[in-house]
Amino acid sequence: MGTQGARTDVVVSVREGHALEDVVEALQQAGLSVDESLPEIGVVKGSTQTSNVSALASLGGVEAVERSGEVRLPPPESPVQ
Amino acid sequence: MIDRAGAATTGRYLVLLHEDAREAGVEALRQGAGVELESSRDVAAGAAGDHSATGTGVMFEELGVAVVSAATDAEHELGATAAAEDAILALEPERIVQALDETVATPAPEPGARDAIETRATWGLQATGVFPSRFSGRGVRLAVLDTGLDLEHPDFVGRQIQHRSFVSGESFEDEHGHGTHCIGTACGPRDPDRGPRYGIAYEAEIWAGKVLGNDGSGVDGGILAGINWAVAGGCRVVSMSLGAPTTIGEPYSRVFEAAARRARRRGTLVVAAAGNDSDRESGVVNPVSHPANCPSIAAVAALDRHLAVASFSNGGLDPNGGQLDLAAPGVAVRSAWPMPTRYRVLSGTSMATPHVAGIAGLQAEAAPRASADAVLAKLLQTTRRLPLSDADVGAGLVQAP
Repeated sequence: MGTQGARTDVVVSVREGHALEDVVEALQQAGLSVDESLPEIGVVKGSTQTSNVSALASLGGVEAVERSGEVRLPPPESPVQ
Repeated sequence: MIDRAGAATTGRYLVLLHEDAREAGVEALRQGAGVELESSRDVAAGAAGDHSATGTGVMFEELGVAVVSAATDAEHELGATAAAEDAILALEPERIVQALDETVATPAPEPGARDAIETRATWGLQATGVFPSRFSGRGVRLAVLDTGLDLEHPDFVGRQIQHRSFVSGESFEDEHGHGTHCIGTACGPRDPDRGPRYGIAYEAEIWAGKVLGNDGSGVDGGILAGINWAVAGGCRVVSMSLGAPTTIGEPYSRVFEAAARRARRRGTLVVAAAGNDSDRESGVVNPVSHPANCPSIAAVAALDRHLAVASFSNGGLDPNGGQLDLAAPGVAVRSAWPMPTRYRVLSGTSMATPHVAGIAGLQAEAAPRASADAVLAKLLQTTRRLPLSDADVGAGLVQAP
């Protein structure tokens, strides 16, 4: 449980009616290293210790915290894309 | 079926024969409509165009298509034969190709006419009614979030293009090819460098966001950044031919749902590929991929040229967003590919999605002040209904205004 625990890239959606900047500040104080705010869609990108994800999700103004998952296309030579 | 009202037809007909029953089709044409077919292999090169005596025709063996000239009094029999004979899949007037661009009076082809000949436009643009549409996407910003675009491709020279890479450490240039193909379908030119027209919104302003790297992989954070960029830029449509497989019962992403809902409120409709994880020929159907399974993102299924669901196309197995919304051509789709290859024919719900996006762009042009919800409603209301389960094709085959 040290400060050197595994980190996870996350995406966070902010609840309607909450100012993005306020929520970003709260997220930072709770251990989110903010990569980018996406104001048009009310989303914050960042990374945090994996053990900290549920704590971020419980903050006021946070709608959801999800791991930033991966998508992958087939290789270019594949006939089905 | 037979419509001679348009002056822009030759009087001849194109007859599409079932691959597995050509001889039955040829025989039906002979007995039912008095048409004697010759094989194109037996006709001297160049002579096919002169082969216009009534009651005759030429069979193009490689295409499974016959071009026939019925006597005027036999046209009714030709139509009746085509309607009655299972071996004949489609019958349509042969169009005069030069006339199509300027003849407003040209009747639209039969909806979904299964023209195997991609002389002037791909089968997908024919089946969706794009080719005769008067709309071009002019004044509409249309975003495609993918692997980038080959900016040196001759078909995109001179186009208005905004581009940005959201993939760290990679330039915008498309070194995969997928993005160039998808942008080609959604926004390619009216008159391509070579071959038939394959692009839909040919006057749209292209917003090309690279959210997938040259290895084809991307992350949710980059995709969301791309959506945010497109919304901020006033794009009316975001096309996403990407996704990750889901399992039945898996909840959709609340973050993507919030993002797409907000995008729509700001006038941006998000469409995404249903995914290719199924193998229907073996009885396997898998659920719609992430993020197309979000309620506020329109999920697109793939059809083949017979308007059957593609074997790989995922199904609407989950409620509340996991359904299909629309279907579009997604098998044997010709579009652009980075130079020097220039063009490729590919299949996938990735190919179906930009058909919907491009047509959404035409709808947005037709209704400049329409909300994203209204654009989607229009797409859903104007489909060609298909005799298939809505779990597989949603509201049906998307149609151009």
